[in-house]
Amino acid sequence: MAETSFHLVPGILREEKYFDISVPEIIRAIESDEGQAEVFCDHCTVDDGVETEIRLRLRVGGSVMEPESWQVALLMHSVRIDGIDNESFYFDAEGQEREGWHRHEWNRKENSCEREKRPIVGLDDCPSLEIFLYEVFRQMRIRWNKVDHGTLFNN
Amino acid sequence: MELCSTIRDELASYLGAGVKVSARKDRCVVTLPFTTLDKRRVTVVVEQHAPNTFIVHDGGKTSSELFCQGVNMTRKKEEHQVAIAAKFGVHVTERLFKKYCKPGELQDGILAVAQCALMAMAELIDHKPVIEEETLGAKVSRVLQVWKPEYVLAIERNVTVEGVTAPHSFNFVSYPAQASYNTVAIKILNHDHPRWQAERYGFLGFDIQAAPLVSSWVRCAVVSRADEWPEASIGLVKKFSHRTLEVYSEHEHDMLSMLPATMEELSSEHFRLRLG
Repeated sequence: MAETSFHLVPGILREEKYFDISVPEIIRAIESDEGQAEVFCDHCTVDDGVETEIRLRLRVGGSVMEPESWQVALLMHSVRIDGIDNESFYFDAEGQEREGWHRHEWNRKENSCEREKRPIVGLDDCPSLEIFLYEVFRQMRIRWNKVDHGTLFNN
Repeated sequence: MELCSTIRDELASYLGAGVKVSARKDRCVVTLPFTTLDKRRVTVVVEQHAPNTFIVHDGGKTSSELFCQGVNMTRKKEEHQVAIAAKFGVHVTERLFKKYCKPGELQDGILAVAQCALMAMAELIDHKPVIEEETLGAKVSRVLQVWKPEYVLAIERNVTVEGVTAPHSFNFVSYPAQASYNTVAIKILNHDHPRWQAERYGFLGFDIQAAPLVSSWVRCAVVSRADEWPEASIGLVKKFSHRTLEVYSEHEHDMLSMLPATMEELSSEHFRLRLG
Protein backbone atom coordinates (compact mmCIF):
# COMPACT_ATOMS: atom_id res chain seq x y z
CA MET A 1 0.00 0.00 0.00
CA ALA A 2 1.30 3.45 -0.90
CA GLU A 3 2.58 5.57 1.97
CA THR A 4 1.39 9.01 2.94
CA SER A 5 3.65 12.05 2.76
CA PHE A 6 2.42 13.58 6.01
CA HIS A 7 6.02 13.77 7.33
CA LEU A 8 6.47 16.65 4.85
CA VAL A 9 3.66 18.75 6.32
CA PRO A 10 5.71 20.90 8.76
CA GLY A 11 8.05 21.91 5.94
CA ILE A 12 5.20 22.58 3.52
CA LEU A 13 3.45 24.80 6.06
CA ARG A 14 6.59 26.93 6.33
CA GLU A 15 6.92 27.21 2.55
CA GLU A 16 4.97 29.46 0.21
CA LYS A 17 2.33 27.59 -1.75
CA TYR A 18 1.25 28.98 -5.13
CA PHE A 19 -2.22 28.35 -6.54
CA ASP A 20 -2.97 29.43 -10.07
CA ILE A 21 -6.27 31.11 -9.28
CA SER A 22 -7.20 34.69 -8.53
CA VAL A 23 -9.23 35.78 -5.52
CA PRO A 24 -12.10 37.12 -7.68
CA GLU A 25 -12.27 33.71 -9.39
CA ILE A 26 -12.60 32.01 -6.00
CA ILE A 27 -15.38 34.37 -5.05
CA ARG A 28 -17.21 33.78 -8.32
CA ALA A 29 -17.00 30.02 -7.71
CA ILE A 30 -18.51 30.43 -4.26
CA GLU A 31 -21.25 32.66 -5.64
CA SER A 32 -22.04 30.11 -8.35
CA ASP A 33 -24.32 27.08 -7.98
CA GLU A 34 -21.26 25.11 -6.89
CA GLY A 35 -21.05 27.27 -3.79
CA GLN A 36 -17.46 26.38 -3.04
CA ALA A 37 -14.05 26.63 -4.60
CA GLU A 38 -11.37 24.01 -5.00
CA VAL A 39 -8.10 24.28 -6.81
CA PHE A 40 -5.00 22.16 -6.59
CA CYS A 41 -1.31 22.67 -7.16
CA ASP A 42 1.66 20.38 -7.49
CA HIS A 43 3.86 21.88 -4.82
CA CYS A 44 7.63 21.40 -5.07
CA THR A 45 9.30 20.58 -1.79
CA VAL A 46 12.28 18.61 -0.54
CA ASP A 47 12.06 15.15 0.99
CA ASP A 48 15.27 13.97 2.62
CA GLY A 49 17.36 16.12 0.28
CA VAL A 50 15.51 15.06 -2.87
CA GLU A 51 13.22 17.43 -4.72
CA THR A 52 9.70 16.09 -4.87
CA GLU A 53 6.24 17.19 -5.92
CA ILE A 54 3.19 16.93 -3.68
CA ARG A 55 -0.37 17.59 -4.72
CA LEU A 56 -2.06 20.12 -2.45
CA ARG A 57 -5.68 21.22 -2.57
CA LEU A 58 -7.02 24.56 -1.53
CA ARG A 59 -10.66 24.54 -0.53
CA VAL A 60 -12.70 27.61 0.28
CA GLY A 61 -16.18 27.09 1.61
CA GLY A 62 -19.01 28.99 3.16
CA SER A 63 -21.83 31.22 2.14
CA VAL A 64 -20.86 34.69 0.85
CA MET A 65 -23.52 36.30 3.04
CA GLU A 66 -22.58 34.35 6.19
CA PRO A 67 -19.11 35.51 7.34
CA GLU A 68 -19.07 32.99 10.20
CA SER A 69 -19.27 30.16 7.68
CA TRP A 70 -16.25 31.31 5.66
CA GLN A 71 -13.38 28.94 5.87
CA VAL A 72 -10.21 28.03 4.08
CA ALA A 73 -8.42 24.71 4.18
CA LEU A 74 -5.22 23.33 2.74
CA LEU A 75 -5.43 19.61 2.11
CA MET A 76 -2.99 16.83 1.38
CA HIS A 77 -4.23 13.30 0.62
CA SER A 78 -7.76 14.73 1.12
CA VAL A 79 -6.91 15.52 4.75
CA ARG A 80 -6.86 19.07 6.09
CA ILE A 81 -3.31 20.00 7.04
CA ASP A 82 -3.94 23.69 7.70
CA GLY A 83 -7.00 25.86 7.86
CA ILE A 84 -8.79 28.84 9.29
CA ASP A 85 -12.42 29.05 10.34
CA ASN A 86 -14.83 30.43 12.92
CA GLU A 87 -16.66 28.75 15.79
CA SER A 88 -18.84 30.35 18.38
CA PHE A 89 -17.46 27.92 20.96
CA TYR A 90 -14.35 25.78 20.99
CA PHE A 91 -11.48 24.69 23.21
CA ASP A 92 -8.02 25.89 22.20
CA ALA A 93 -4.88 23.74 22.41
CA GLU A 94 -4.52 24.59 26.13
CA GLY A 95 -8.09 23.51 26.84
CA GLN A 96 -9.37 27.02 27.32
CA GLU A 97 -12.85 27.99 26.13
CA ARG A 98 -12.74 30.32 23.14
CA GLU A 99 -14.90 31.74 20.41
CA GLY A 100 -14.22 33.21 16.99
CA TRP A 101 -11.57 32.80 14.35
CA HIS A 102 -8.88 30.21 14.83
CA ARG A 103 -6.25 28.29 12.93
CA HIS A 104 -6.01 24.51 12.87
CA GLU A 105 -2.54 23.41 13.89
CA TRP A 106 -0.92 20.29 12.53
CA ASN A 107 -0.20 17.56 15.05
CA ARG A 108 2.62 15.33 13.84
CA LYS A 109 1.73 12.40 16.08
CA GLU A 110 -1.92 12.33 15.09
CA ASN A 111 -1.37 13.34 11.46
CA SER A 112 -4.28 15.67 11.89
CA CYS A 113 -5.05 19.30 12.55
CA GLU A 114 -8.59 18.78 13.79
CA ARG A 115 -7.90 18.93 17.52
CA GLU A 116 -5.47 21.78 18.07
CA LYS A 117 -6.93 25.19 17.42
CA ARG A 118 -5.13 28.48 17.99
CA PRO A 119 -7.06 31.76 18.15
CA ILE A 120 -6.10 34.33 15.53
CA VAL A 121 -6.78 38.01 15.26
CA GLY A 122 -7.44 40.34 12.37
CA LEU A 123 -10.45 38.61 10.86
CA ASP A 124 -13.29 40.04 12.93
CA ASP A 125 -15.53 42.38 11.02
CA CYS A 126 -13.93 41.67 7.65
CA PRO A 127 -16.00 43.83 5.31
CA SER A 128 -15.95 41.30 2.50
CA LEU A 129 -15.00 37.75 1.61
CA GLU A 130 -12.31 39.17 -0.66
CA ILE A 131 -10.51 40.96 2.19
CA PHE A 132 -10.96 37.90 4.38
CA LEU A 133 -9.24 35.74 1.77
CA TYR A 134 -6.31 38.12 1.31
CA GLU A 135 -5.67 38.06 5.06
CA VAL A 136 -6.10 34.30 5.43
CA PHE A 137 -3.81 33.57 2.48
CA ARG A 138 -1.18 35.84 3.98
CA GLN A 139 -1.33 33.94 7.28
CA MET A 140 -1.29 30.53 5.60
CA ARG A 141 1.56 31.50 3.24
CA ILE A 142 -0.57 30.94 0.17
CA ARG A 143 0.16 32.90 -2.99
CA TRP A 144 -2.39 33.33 -5.73
CA ASN A 145 -2.51 34.54 -9.32
CA LYS A 146 -2.98 38.29 -9.30
CA VAL A 147 -4.44 38.27 -12.80
CA ASP A 148 -8.17 37.62 -12.96
CA HIS A 149 -8.68 35.58 -16.14
CA GLY A 150 -12.35 34.93 -15.47
CA THR A 151 -14.06 36.28 -18.55
CA LEU A 152 -11.15 36.82 -20.87
CA PHE A 153 -12.19 34.36 -23.57
CA ASN A 154 -15.94 34.20 -23.09
CA ASN A 155 -17.56 33.31 -26.42
CA MET B 1 -38.56 8.78 42.73
CA GLU B 2 -35.92 11.14 44.03
CA LEU B 3 -33.14 9.87 41.72
CA CYS B 4 -35.25 10.62 38.65
CA SER B 5 -35.95 14.18 39.68
CA THR B 6 -32.28 14.71 40.58
CA ILE B 7 -31.25 13.47 37.14
CA ARG B 8 -33.89 15.68 35.54
CA ASP B 9 -32.77 18.78 37.45
CA GLU B 10 -29.07 18.20 36.87
CA LEU B 11 -29.56 17.43 33.19
CA ALA B 12 -31.72 20.53 32.73
CA SER B 13 -29.08 22.58 34.48
CA TYR B 14 -26.29 21.00 32.35
CA LEU B 15 -28.14 21.60 29.12
CA GLY B 16 -29.05 25.13 30.19
CA ALA B 17 -25.44 25.94 31.01
CA GLY B 18 -24.33 24.56 27.65
CA VAL B 19 -26.67 26.75 25.65
CA LYS B 20 -25.12 30.01 24.58
CA VAL B 21 -26.90 32.67 22.59
CA SER B 22 -25.06 35.65 21.19
CA ALA B 23 -26.18 38.53 19.01
CA ARG B 24 -24.49 39.05 15.66
CA LYS B 25 -25.89 42.01 13.75
CA ASP B 26 -29.61 41.30 13.33
CA ARG B 27 -29.47 37.63 14.21
CA CYS B 28 -28.98 35.31 17.14
CA VAL B 29 -26.33 32.61 17.10
CA VAL B 30 -27.29 29.66 19.30
CA THR B 31 -24.59 27.27 20.45
CA LEU B 32 -25.93 24.00 21.83
CA PRO B 33 -24.22 21.50 24.16
CA PHE B 34 -24.22 18.84 21.45
CA THR B 35 -20.91 17.83 19.93
CA THR B 36 -20.37 16.87 16.31
CA LEU B 37 -18.12 13.99 15.29
CA ASP B 38 -15.29 16.45 14.74
CA LYS B 39 -15.68 17.70 18.31
CA ARG B 40 -17.41 20.98 17.50
CA ARG B 41 -20.36 22.40 19.36
CA VAL B 42 -23.26 22.62 16.96
CA THR B 43 -24.33 26.15 16.12
CA VAL B 44 -27.65 27.39 14.75
CA VAL B 45 -28.56 30.85 13.48
CA VAL B 46 -31.97 32.42 14.11
CA GLU B 47 -33.15 35.33 11.98
CA GLN B 48 -36.45 37.15 11.97
CA HIS B 49 -37.91 36.69 8.50
CA ALA B 50 -41.27 38.46 8.96
CA PRO B 51 -43.10 39.79 12.04
CA ASN B 52 -44.29 36.31 12.97
CA THR B 53 -41.79 34.12 11.20
CA PHE B 54 -38.21 33.12 11.89
CA ILE B 55 -35.66 31.37 9.74
CA VAL B 56 -33.52 28.88 11.57
CA HIS B 57 -30.45 27.63 9.71
CA ASP B 58 -26.93 26.32 10.22
CA GLY B 59 -25.26 29.22 8.40
CA GLY B 60 -23.77 26.82 5.84
CA LYS B 61 -21.27 25.68 8.47
CA THR B 62 -21.99 21.96 8.11
CA SER B 63 -21.45 21.86 4.37
CA SER B 64 -18.42 24.10 4.67
CA GLU B 65 -16.86 21.90 7.37
CA LEU B 66 -17.35 18.70 5.40
CA PHE B 67 -15.86 20.30 2.31
CA CYS B 68 -12.87 21.75 4.15
CA GLN B 69 -12.18 18.48 5.94
CA GLY B 70 -11.80 16.78 2.57
CA VAL B 71 -15.16 15.04 2.21
CA ASN B 72 -16.39 14.85 -1.37
CA MET B 73 -20.15 15.03 -1.42
CA THR B 74 -21.62 12.82 -4.11
CA ARG B 75 -25.19 13.25 -5.37
CA LYS B 76 -26.15 10.15 -3.38
CA LYS B 77 -24.72 11.57 -0.17
CA GLU B 78 -26.51 14.87 -0.76
CA GLU B 79 -29.80 13.08 -1.39
CA HIS B 80 -29.28 11.17 1.83
CA GLN B 81 -28.84 14.45 3.73
CA VAL B 82 -31.94 15.92 2.11
CA ALA B 83 -33.95 12.83 3.09
CA ILE B 84 -32.77 13.01 6.71
CA ALA B 85 -33.54 16.73 6.88
CA ALA B 86 -37.02 16.18 5.48
CA LYS B 87 -37.75 13.80 8.37
CA PHE B 88 -37.17 16.75 10.71
CA GLY B 89 -39.14 19.16 8.52
CA VAL B 90 -35.93 20.90 7.46
CA HIS B 91 -35.07 21.97 3.89
CA VAL B 92 -31.65 21.95 2.31
CA THR B 93 -31.22 24.97 0.09
CA GLU B 94 -27.97 26.45 -1.13
CA ARG B 95 -26.03 24.19 1.25
CA LEU B 96 -27.95 25.46 4.27
CA PHE B 97 -30.11 23.39 6.58
CA LYS B 98 -33.07 25.71 6.90
CA LYS B 99 -36.46 25.76 8.61
CA TYR B 100 -39.14 28.45 8.78
CA CYS B 101 -40.78 28.69 12.21
CA LYS B 102 -43.58 30.53 13.95
CA PRO B 103 -42.65 31.92 17.39
CA GLY B 104 -44.15 28.91 19.18
CA GLU B 105 -42.18 26.49 16.99
CA LEU B 106 -38.80 28.10 17.44
CA GLN B 107 -37.39 25.64 20.01
CA ASP B 108 -38.37 22.65 17.88
CA GLY B 109 -36.93 24.36 14.83
CA ILE B 110 -33.58 25.02 16.53
CA LEU B 111 -33.30 21.41 17.68
CA ALA B 112 -34.37 20.07 14.27
CA VAL B 113 -31.70 22.06 12.41
CA ALA B 114 -29.13 21.08 15.04
CA GLN B 115 -29.99 17.40 14.62
CA CYS B 116 -29.55 17.68 10.85
CA ALA B 117 -26.16 19.36 11.31
CA LEU B 118 -25.07 16.66 13.76
CA MET B 119 -26.18 13.79 11.55
CA ALA B 120 -24.65 15.27 8.41
CA MET B 121 -21.22 15.23 10.02
CA ALA B 122 -21.44 11.41 10.16
CA GLU B 123 -19.84 11.55 6.69
CA LEU B 124 -16.53 11.97 8.53
CA ILE B 125 -16.69 8.40 9.82
CA ASP B 126 -15.76 6.93 6.44
CA HIS B 127 -13.32 9.66 5.53
CA LYS B 128 -9.79 8.32 5.09
CA PRO B 129 -6.60 9.77 3.58
CA VAL B 130 -6.45 9.29 -0.16
CA ILE B 131 -2.99 8.68 -1.55
CA GLU B 132 -2.85 10.28 -4.98
CA GLU B 133 -0.69 8.77 -7.64
CA GLU B 134 2.56 10.50 -8.52
CA THR B 135 1.95 13.88 -10.17
CA LEU B 136 2.29 14.25 -13.92
CA GLY B 137 4.93 16.92 -13.27
CA ALA B 138 7.12 14.43 -11.40
CA LYS B 139 6.78 11.91 -14.23
CA VAL B 140 7.59 14.49 -16.90
CA SER B 141 10.60 15.60 -14.87
CA ARG B 142 11.97 12.05 -14.80
CA VAL B 143 11.47 11.60 -18.54
CA LEU B 144 13.22 14.90 -19.28
CA GLN B 145 16.21 14.07 -17.08
CA VAL B 146 16.69 10.75 -18.87
CA TRP B 147 16.24 12.42 -22.28
CA LYS B 148 18.57 15.42 -21.72
CA PRO B 149 20.95 15.32 -24.72
CA GLU B 150 24.34 17.02 -24.96
CA TYR B 151 22.98 20.00 -26.87
CA VAL B 152 20.79 20.88 -23.88
CA LEU B 153 22.59 23.03 -21.35
CA ALA B 154 20.02 22.77 -18.58
CA ILE B 155 16.43 21.89 -17.89
CA GLU B 156 15.01 24.22 -15.27
CA ARG B 157 11.86 23.70 -13.31
CA ASN B 158 9.17 26.27 -12.40
CA VAL B 159 10.48 29.10 -14.52
CA THR B 160 8.76 32.47 -14.21
CA VAL B 161 8.84 34.75 -17.22
CA GLU B 162 7.65 38.30 -17.71
CA GLY B 163 4.83 38.81 -20.15
CA VAL B 164 3.82 42.23 -21.41
CA THR B 165 1.24 42.70 -18.65
CA ALA B 166 1.84 39.92 -16.09
CA PRO B 167 4.34 37.27 -15.00
CA HIS B 168 3.74 33.67 -16.15
CA SER B 169 5.24 30.35 -15.24
CA PHE B 170 6.30 27.24 -17.10
CA ASN B 171 6.81 23.90 -15.41
CA PHE B 172 10.00 23.18 -17.36
CA VAL B 173 12.25 25.06 -19.70
CA SER B 174 14.95 23.32 -21.74
CA TYR B 175 17.80 25.72 -22.57
CA PRO B 176 20.09 24.73 -25.45
CA ALA B 177 23.89 24.86 -25.23
CA GLN B 178 24.10 26.08 -28.83
CA ALA B 179 22.19 28.95 -30.38
CA SER B 180 21.13 26.80 -33.34
CA TYR B 181 18.76 24.82 -31.11
CA ASN B 182 15.46 26.06 -29.70
CA THR B 183 14.55 26.81 -26.12
CA VAL B 184 11.51 24.70 -25.29
CA ALA B 185 9.06 25.65 -22.55
CA ILE B 186 6.65 23.07 -21.17
CA LYS B 187 3.42 23.92 -19.42
CA ILE B 188 1.47 21.16 -17.68
CA LEU B 189 -2.24 21.81 -17.60
CA ASN B 190 -4.08 19.89 -14.91
CA HIS B 191 -7.57 18.53 -15.27
CA ASP B 192 -9.29 20.63 -12.63
CA HIS B 193 -11.37 23.45 -14.12
CA PRO B 194 -10.22 22.82 -17.74
CA ARG B 195 -11.83 26.01 -18.99
CA TRP B 196 -9.98 28.11 -16.44
CA GLN B 197 -6.75 26.33 -17.25
CA ALA B 198 -7.26 26.89 -20.98
CA GLU B 199 -8.10 30.57 -20.50
CA ARG B 200 -5.03 31.09 -18.36
CA TYR B 201 -2.89 29.35 -20.89
CA GLY B 202 -4.45 31.39 -23.66
CA PHE B 203 -3.64 34.56 -21.77
CA LEU B 204 -0.07 33.37 -21.25
CA GLY B 205 0.31 32.75 -24.99
CA PHE B 206 -1.28 36.06 -25.84
CA ASP B 207 0.69 38.03 -23.27
CA ILE B 208 4.15 36.73 -24.21
CA GLN B 209 3.71 37.16 -27.95
CA ALA B 210 5.34 40.57 -27.76
CA ALA B 211 7.63 39.81 -24.81
CA PRO B 212 11.31 39.98 -25.69
CA LEU B 213 13.15 36.67 -25.80
CA VAL B 214 10.32 34.51 -24.40
CA SER B 215 8.27 34.98 -27.56
CA SER B 216 10.92 33.04 -29.47
CA TRP B 217 10.63 29.99 -27.20
CA VAL B 218 8.84 26.92 -28.47
CA ARG B 219 5.81 26.20 -26.29
CA CYS B 220 4.62 22.70 -25.54
CA ALA B 221 1.45 22.14 -23.52
CA VAL B 222 0.97 18.83 -21.72
CA VAL B 223 -2.72 18.33 -20.98
CA SER B 224 -3.37 16.03 -18.03
CA ARG B 225 -6.37 13.69 -18.29
CA ALA B 226 -7.25 15.10 -21.68
CA ASP B 227 -10.26 12.78 -21.82
CA GLU B 228 -11.89 14.95 -19.13
CA TRP B 229 -11.38 18.20 -21.06
CA PRO B 230 -14.07 19.77 -23.24
CA GLU B 231 -13.09 20.03 -26.89
CA ALA B 232 -13.33 23.83 -26.87
CA SER B 233 -10.82 24.10 -24.03
CA ILE B 234 -8.35 21.77 -25.75
CA GLY B 235 -8.86 23.84 -28.91
CA LEU B 236 -7.92 27.02 -27.07
CA VAL B 237 -4.75 25.40 -25.71
CA LYS B 238 -3.77 24.18 -29.18
CA LYS B 239 -4.26 27.64 -30.61
CA PHE B 240 -1.57 29.00 -28.31
CA SER B 241 0.85 26.04 -28.43
CA HIS B 242 3.45 24.95 -30.91
CA ARG B 243 2.75 21.41 -29.75
CA THR B 244 0.08 19.97 -27.48
CA LEU B 245 0.48 16.56 -25.86
CA GLU B 246 -2.91 15.25 -24.82
CA VAL B 247 -2.30 12.75 -22.05
CA TYR B 248 -5.24 10.36 -21.73
CA SER B 249 -5.75 8.66 -18.37
CA GLU B 250 -5.41 5.12 -19.71
CA HIS B 251 -2.53 5.87 -22.06
CA GLU B 252 -0.38 8.08 -19.85
CA HIS B 253 2.67 5.82 -20.10
CA ASP B 254 2.46 5.70 -23.92
CA MET B 255 2.07 9.46 -24.16
CA LEU B 256 5.02 10.11 -21.86
CA SER B 257 7.19 7.73 -23.86
CA MET B 258 6.61 10.04 -26.85
CA LEU B 259 7.94 13.05 -24.95
CA PRO B 260 11.67 12.56 -25.78
CA ALA B 261 10.94 12.40 -29.52
CA THR B 262 8.71 15.47 -29.22
CA MET B 263 11.43 17.37 -27.34
CA GLU B 264 13.94 16.29 -29.97
CA GLU B 265 11.74 17.68 -32.72
CA LEU B 266 10.85 20.94 -30.92
CA SER B 267 14.47 21.63 -29.97
CA SER B 268 15.69 21.16 -33.52
CA GLU B 269 16.64 24.21 -35.57
CA HIS B 270 14.42 22.81 -38.34
CA PHE B 271 11.29 23.17 -36.24
CA ARG B 272 9.35 26.18 -37.40
CA LEU B 273 7.53 28.34 -34.90
CA ARG B 274 3.96 27.91 -35.97
CA LEU B 275 1.09 27.94 -33.52
CA GLY B 276 -1.63 25.29 -33.38
